Formats: sequence, structure tokens, C-alpha cells
Amino acid sequence: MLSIKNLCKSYQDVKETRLILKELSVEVAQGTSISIQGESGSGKSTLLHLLATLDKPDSGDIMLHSATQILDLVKFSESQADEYRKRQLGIIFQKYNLIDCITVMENLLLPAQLSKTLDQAYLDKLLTTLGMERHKNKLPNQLSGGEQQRIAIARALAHKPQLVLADEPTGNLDSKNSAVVSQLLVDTCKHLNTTLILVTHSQKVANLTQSQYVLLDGRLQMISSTL
Amino acid sequence: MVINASYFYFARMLLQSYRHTKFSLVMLLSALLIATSGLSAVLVINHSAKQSYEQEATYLLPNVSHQIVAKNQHQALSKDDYAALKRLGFSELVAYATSKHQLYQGDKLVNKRRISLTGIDLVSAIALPTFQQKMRNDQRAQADNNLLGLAFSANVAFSHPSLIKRLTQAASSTDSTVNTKLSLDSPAGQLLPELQAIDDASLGNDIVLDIKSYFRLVPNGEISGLLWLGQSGNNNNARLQSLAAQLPAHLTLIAMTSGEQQGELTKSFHLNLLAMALLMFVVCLFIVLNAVNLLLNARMPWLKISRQLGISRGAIFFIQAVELLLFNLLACGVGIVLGMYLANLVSPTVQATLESLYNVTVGFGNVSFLSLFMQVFSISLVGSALALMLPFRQVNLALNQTKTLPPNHHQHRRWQTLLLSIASSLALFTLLIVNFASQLWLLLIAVACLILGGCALLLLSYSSVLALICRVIPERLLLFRVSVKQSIALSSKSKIACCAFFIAATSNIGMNLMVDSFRGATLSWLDTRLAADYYLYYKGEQDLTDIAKQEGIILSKLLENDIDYQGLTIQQYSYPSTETFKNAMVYYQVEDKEQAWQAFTANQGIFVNQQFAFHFNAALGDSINLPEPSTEVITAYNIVGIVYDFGNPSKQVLFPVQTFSSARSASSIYALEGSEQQVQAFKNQLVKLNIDIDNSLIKTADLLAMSMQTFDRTFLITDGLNVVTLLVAALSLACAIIVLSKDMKPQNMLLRSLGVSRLTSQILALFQYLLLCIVALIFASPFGIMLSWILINAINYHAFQWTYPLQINVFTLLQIYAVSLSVVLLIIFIPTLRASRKPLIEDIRWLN
Repeated sequence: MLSIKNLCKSYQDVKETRLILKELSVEVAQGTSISIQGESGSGKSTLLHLLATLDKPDSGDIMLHSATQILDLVKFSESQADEYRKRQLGIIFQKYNLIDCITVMENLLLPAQLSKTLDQAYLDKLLTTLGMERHKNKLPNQLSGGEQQRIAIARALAHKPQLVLADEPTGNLDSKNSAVVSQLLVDTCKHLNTTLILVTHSQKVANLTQSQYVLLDGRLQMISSTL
Repeated sequence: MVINASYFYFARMLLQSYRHTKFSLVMLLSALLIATSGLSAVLVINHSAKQSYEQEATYLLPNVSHQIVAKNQHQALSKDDYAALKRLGFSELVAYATSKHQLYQGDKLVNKRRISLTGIDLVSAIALPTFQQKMRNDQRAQADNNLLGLAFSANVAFSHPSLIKRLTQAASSTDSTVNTKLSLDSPAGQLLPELQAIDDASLGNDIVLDIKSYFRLVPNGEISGLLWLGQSGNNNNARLQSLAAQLPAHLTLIAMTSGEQQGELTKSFHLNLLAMALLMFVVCLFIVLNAVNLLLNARMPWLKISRQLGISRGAIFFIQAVELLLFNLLACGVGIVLGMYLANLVSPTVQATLESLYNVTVGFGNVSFLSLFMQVFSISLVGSALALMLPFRQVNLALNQTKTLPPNHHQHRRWQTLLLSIASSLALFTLLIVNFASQLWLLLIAVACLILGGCALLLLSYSSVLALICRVIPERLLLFRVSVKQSIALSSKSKIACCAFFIAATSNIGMNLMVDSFRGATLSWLDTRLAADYYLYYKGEQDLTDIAKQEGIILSKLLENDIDYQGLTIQQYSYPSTETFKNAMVYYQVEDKEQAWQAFTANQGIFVNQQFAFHFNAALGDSINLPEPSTEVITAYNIVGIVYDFGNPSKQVLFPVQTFSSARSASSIYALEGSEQQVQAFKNQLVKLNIDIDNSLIKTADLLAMSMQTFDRTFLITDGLNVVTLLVAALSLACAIIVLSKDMKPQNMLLRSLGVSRLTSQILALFQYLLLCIVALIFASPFGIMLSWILINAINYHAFQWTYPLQINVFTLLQIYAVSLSVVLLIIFIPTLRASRKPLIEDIRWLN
């Protein structure tokens, strides 16, 4: 379970301090999916960066509970944060962001090797699930945008993470591809019992998740939930 | 009006873009600065040295065309000879005497190397019409004349201002009267007259004074020569012929320019220096090209916006060309000042090198700032214009395109074919020149072709080699494979900088292997050739043979004659016939060592050095006509061996000692074979005869050490330039990589987001950069070896007339690799460290 309590984050502007997240709290059960919507600049990406330990909050707690341990993300040292990203976390960015000089399969192998959880059969199955098995020896730039984002999803799941953060994963795709990729992402995470936090502007994409939130005035407000 | 406004607008935009392209700008200016300062330094050194030895021994005197000197050391030129020639009506003659001394200020020695003290018969000189005419035509000379006038009316000596400055600095004195307190050869020695500065290169590194003052300071001194201050025209030639005809037998008339031999040799040195300067120029050209490329790339968004705003391509290129012109002007101004400072810094080493190599005195030249500026500015402008062509073409293409085109495989293949053709053509051209050309400038072109051919091959194969390395890395080290693959992308964008590094590395390997081979050959040659236990340098009349015999020492007197052969002065040199010297002979070519030695000792054959053989195209078995050493009767001799004789500027023929006559031949060197005790006893005998043995009797091991010290000093400048070139190239490569690595940032951040630690990402970045350098070094190695081969067997052959075996020392190669990689590592370490210290969140924005 992911538990966020009283999370605050501010940025120093030229003239004033802007409080982006104001005592934000939420709990997400393991294996569930939530979507976060909100206006540009509302703090959606900031929240994801904090969850990915790429940035530090001003105050508050972020705890990740697993079967064996409880991780206090806010108190992580740099090496602990690296280790967390390596083993527990998968990130999907808007611009696909694959390593373009290596093949599709190598892109999946890399996180699996880094986390020392390499399972070739699982990776093959993952590619089959995403319909990309015939592209495994291609370079990313030989694929279409939709195909690249499917590989990005596969890469985020390649090391069987506990948590996947997706920042506008379909922002660069057309509506048809957007629907297919989002569905695949949600279904695959559910199938693997991975928690998914998805930031999106699209209501259609948001509707695919189990709970939908909106980030307003620095706090998360639940819009609907099927849980 | 519209055009003017758009030019103005674009210029303003360019100035504003400087804030965002600081790094590229600094790199461009640094490249230009290094190029101009390096070029200025070499030009100043060359100019000063040339001016100095061209006017050597003319000591402010005009129209010195010839001089009379003694034929050998046996019978010196005397004051009586001078008086006799004057009495014969040759009033154009001006006597001079010169000797080397050490100077003290109080107890402190102020000159590391001995300084020449030269006395001139100023009374005779000033009375000559030639001299007076010079005074009438030259205002500065008039001022000098007033000073010269002081020379015999007052206690005054002259020297170049730079020498006075150096002496003052050496005395660590701020006392402006230091030049009145210098004593000769010991703290209690004779006080030198007050030094007056005359800014004239013909003064060389000498202190000049009136000959009477000279003999007062050096009572045992002898007249060194009589300078001929002739007037131009046929009458002068007739008078010279008359003088030559009336000269006593022990004197000879030589033309001042008959330092042709010397000139040729010093030319070789300057050629070496010029070749290094050219190398630096080529490296700098690549660096400027690289810097312009990076600058234009960084500027591309502004250029595109300007085009969208309707500014013509003409305006864009014109303003940028003007900008580069201004950069050149700025760099030239600062570069020349830096270059002059640099030249001043290394001038003692250059002087020592030229003096020890060619026995020429090098002083201080007068370099005109304006002419130097014009030379450097025009060369740097031509270089910049050349460097500008390719990037401007690329910018032009980029400004014509509306969107980024995917990689064009057809174009890539065409580019590969072009590179292959260039590499093959240059290789063929190099091969042809090295085999058939004999002019030095053509051989230097061959060197350039070899290096540029290497560049083409490197560009052709860089990505293939990196891909090969990538395949070798096991799949489980995927992170390293990613890094190698990123290097491929980096290499395609930093081609020019990689070429600059390749050129520097190739020349470094080539020069180092050459020097290493030369050092090895010289050391082994000297070690064998210096077969005696001691060498004695003694010019006196005393016969030492009997004293040596008494102590059981084998004493071999080394005798020499200067003779004319095919219009050139060559040396006849004696070589002892003892068993020790038989084993000491180091042959370059010989058919049968035993037979050759027997023929030599029986006076039926001669040995010639490489310099003689290569210059006169003489081979083993050839018969040549030479005067017999003792009788001067022309005799036919068979060449039975060609021997190594490194460092000797003379073409030399070796004869057995017994064929020489002590009465006719000059001698100052004796070879001694004997035990320590015997030599000690011999020393004692010499001391009893008042012969100074402290500086003249030298143990062979010490002589060898001294020779090798001189050798190492000779190549100090080459080494220095090598390191500077390498540093510059490494800097260029590092700058290019750092600028280009901005493009790699998203990919690196992606790796960081996958949990790759800061340290690992630093190591991977350094690994990438070093990999590029290692591949360039691997390519540079065979080309460096080929360069070394050309330098030894073609350039040395034609410039110095000697060759030696190429020794490929693995340790030397490893040392060069280590130095090169360390230089690169040192330069890129700090920026890489700084880049990785930035908070991750700042860079993660690249990902969206």
C-alpha cells in the first residue's frame, strides 16, 4: 500500500514562494490503479517526482508498504532512492523515452538486469501481452509512437515493480492508440498486482482506472471510485 | 534600408545569443588564441635565430662578406699577420678576437652558459668609408656610432638589451648599475667595462668591446679572424682575389655566407620547428572548425528564428563572417603578445640547442610587431576561412530545410565512398612521395598526407570499431553496451575533434618513437664508439706520447684535416688501429667486417660516415679520389664501410692514424686506454707540466652522460610542442564531448530514473569519452609508427644525411597512451563531476 500524509511542496519563484502541494494525503491499496487529473501547473508532475524520489518534499510522509517491509521514501538517502527506483518503481513518461541505441528487448533487459530480477520468460510474455513480440529486435526509432509507448509500458513493468508512475503516457498519441495503450497499461498492472498512479488530462483514460482524483489547490479530491 | 535594418537586427540578436553560447565562444576564442600565440612564438624564435646567425660575427659592422681565419690550430692568426696584410694595403680588414667566459657579480655567477667576449679593432672599422657611409644613411646607426666612439675613448662595452636584462635578472638585482660590476671568470677577476645596450641582432649573444680593451682583459687571447668590410662592385671582387693570392700559407679566406653548410643544418632545425608549427596550425584548424561547428549548432534556434523573421541568408553569413574577423583580430593582438612572451621564455633553450647542435651563436633578433601581426593575422584568417567552409555549408543546408530529415542511407554510403577514396588516394600519394621525392617540402607534404589519410580512415571506421567493441561486451553488462553505443552517436557528432586528437596522438607517437630510436641508436653508438677509457682535450704544443708511454697508457692522437671534395668542405679524420677501436666501430653498411678492417688498417680502404655516403651518393666498393692525409697527394681509395656518425654535421672520411702527419693536421683530442692507476699517474705528470686537466681530461662515462644530456636538451622543444599539441587537441575533444553530451542528457537521465546511481553514471560518462580517445589512439599507433619511419628514413636522410633503425618500444607507446589518456581524463573529469552534482530534478525536465 502507498500512503501519503500531509505532503507539502513549494517552489521559490522570482518574487514569491508558491505552495504547490498543501498537506496532500491519500492512500492507494496495492494492485489498484488511480488516475490524477488537474490543470496545468496544479502539481501533478511534482507529486509524481516526489513519489519517484527524484525530488524531496518540504514536509509530510510517503510510505510504501510491502509484504516484508515499510519504506519511508522521504527519508531515503541518495543510494536508497537509487535502489528504490531500481527495484520497486517503474516510470512511464509522456515522450516514450526509450534508450534509442539499443533494441526493444535490450530496453526491457536493462531494468531487469539492474534490479537483478531477470526472467526472460516473463519478458517474452510481457511483450506478447502488449502485442510487441515481433518487434523485439528492432530499434525504438523503427517503431511508431503507439508501439514505442507500449515498449515503455513493458520496460516499466520489466522488473516487476510494486508501483508504476505514468506521467501523461498517452499525451503524444492519437485517440485510437491512446485508448489501446491505456487499456493495456491498466490491465497489465492489474494482472501483475502492481499499483498504478496515472496522471492524465484525458477523461477517457482516467475512466479506465479504479479511482479518479483531481488535484485542486494542492490537494487530491476523489471524483469517483469503483473500489 | 530593409537590408540595413535586418543586418542590424541580426547583429543584435547575435550579441544577445552570447549569453547562451558562452562555452562555445570561449572555446573558439581559446582555439584562436592558442593558434596565434603558438604561431607567433615559432615565428619569433625562427626569425630571431635566423637573423642572429645570418649576421653572426659581423658585430655591428656593415658589408662583412668574408673573413680570414687560420687553416688549423697549429699556426694561429697573429697580430703580425694582421699588420702585414694592412701594410700590403688591405685596409678593409678589421681584426676581431673572441673567447668564452663566465661572469660574476660579486660572488654570484650570473651566466649559466659561457658568454662570448669579443674585441673588435674599432679604430680601423670607424675609419673605413663603408662604415661612415652606413652612419650617414642610418639614423639609428648614428646613435650607435656615438656609442662606438665611446668604446675607445671610454671604458665601454656593448651588448643586446635582452642580454643585459638577462644578466640583471640572473644577478637578482634591481640595481641598475649591475652592468658596471661584472667580473670576468672569477669573483676576483678583471672588471668588465660598463655595458651599453645596442638593439642589433648582429651582436648575437656576445659582449663586444674595443680590441685593446679586450686584450687588457684577456692578455693571453689571440686574434680569431680578420673581417673584410668590402664595398659592392667588381673592384671588391678583384681586391678579394688579390687578398686571397697574397695570403700566407697558414691563412685562408672564407666567405661569411660559406656558413652554407651551417645554414643548411640550421635550416633543418628550423624546418623541424616549422613542421611542429604547421602541425599545431593543422590541429588548431580542426579545433577552430570544431568550435565554429559547435557555436553554430548552439546558435541554430536563433538562426532559424531569424530566417523566419525574414532576415536573408546573406545577412546571416555576412554578420557571422565579420564576427569571426573581429575574433581573429582580438586573438591576434593578444596571441602575439603571449607568443612573444613564450618565445622569450624558451629562447635560452633554443640558443643552447642551436649552439650545441650546430656550434652557432644565437642571440636576439629584432622582430617588427607590425610585420609579425600581418603574418599571424593573415595565416589565422586563412585558417579560419578554411575552418568556416564546412560548418557554413551545413548551416546553409539546415536553414533551407523546414524539418529534420531522417538519416539518408544513400548519402551515408556516398560519404563512406568519398572517405575511402580520400584515404586510398592520400596513401598512394604518400607512398609515391616517400619513394621518389628528395625535396624536404615534398616529404613534409607526404607527412601531412599520411596524417590526413589516417583521419579519413578513422572517420570511415570509427563507428564500425565501436560497434565491434560493443559486440564483444557480454549481454550481462548491458549498461556498458549502452554506453559504447552512446559513444557511437557521440563519435559521429564529434568527428572533427576526434580528428584533431588523432593528429596530435599520431604526431606524438611518431615524434616520440623517432626520438626514442635516435636516442637508443646514439647511446649504443656512443657507448661502442667511445672505446677509450678517458678522452683528453688538449690544444698545447707539448708532446704527450712519451709521458703516456712511461705510464703504460695507450695514447691515440685524433687528427683531422678539412679538405675540399666536389666543391664542399669535408673532414678527414683519424681512427686508431688498435683492437679496442676495431671492436668499437659501428657499421651502417659493411660486407665483411674482418676484411674491411684489414683493408682499412693496411691503408687500402677507407670508411665514410652516412653523411658523406648519402650526400655524395657513395656506396660500398666505390673508388673515390681524395688527398692522402699527410702528403696531400690525390689517391684513389675504396670505400670498405659506411659508419654511423650521429650528431656530426660534417661529411667525414676515416683514415688510420698512421697516415696522418702531426705537423700538418690539427689535433685537440686524445684517446687514452689504461687502468685507473695508470691514468692517475699520467694526470700527475700533466699537472707537473702545468697542463690544466680539471676540465679537459674526461672519463668516458662522464662524456657519455654529457653527450646524452645535450641530446635530451636538443629534443626538449620538440617534447614541449608535442605535449602542448596533445593538450590542445585533448581540450578540443573534451570541449566537443561536453557540449555534445547535452544531447545525450535525456538518455542519461532516463538511466538515472531507472535507478543507475550518480557514481555509475559518472563512470559511464568517463568510460564513453575515454573509449573515443582509446579508439583514436589505436588508430594513431600504426600511423605514428609510419610517421616515425618516414621521419627517420626519408626526412632525416635528406635533412641530416643520417638514418638509424626504427625501434618500436612498447613501453614508449604505453607511456604515450597513458599521458594522452591522463590529459583527456584530467580535462573532462571536473566538468563531468560538476554535471553529475546537479540535482536530479533539474535534469529530469529534459525527459518531458
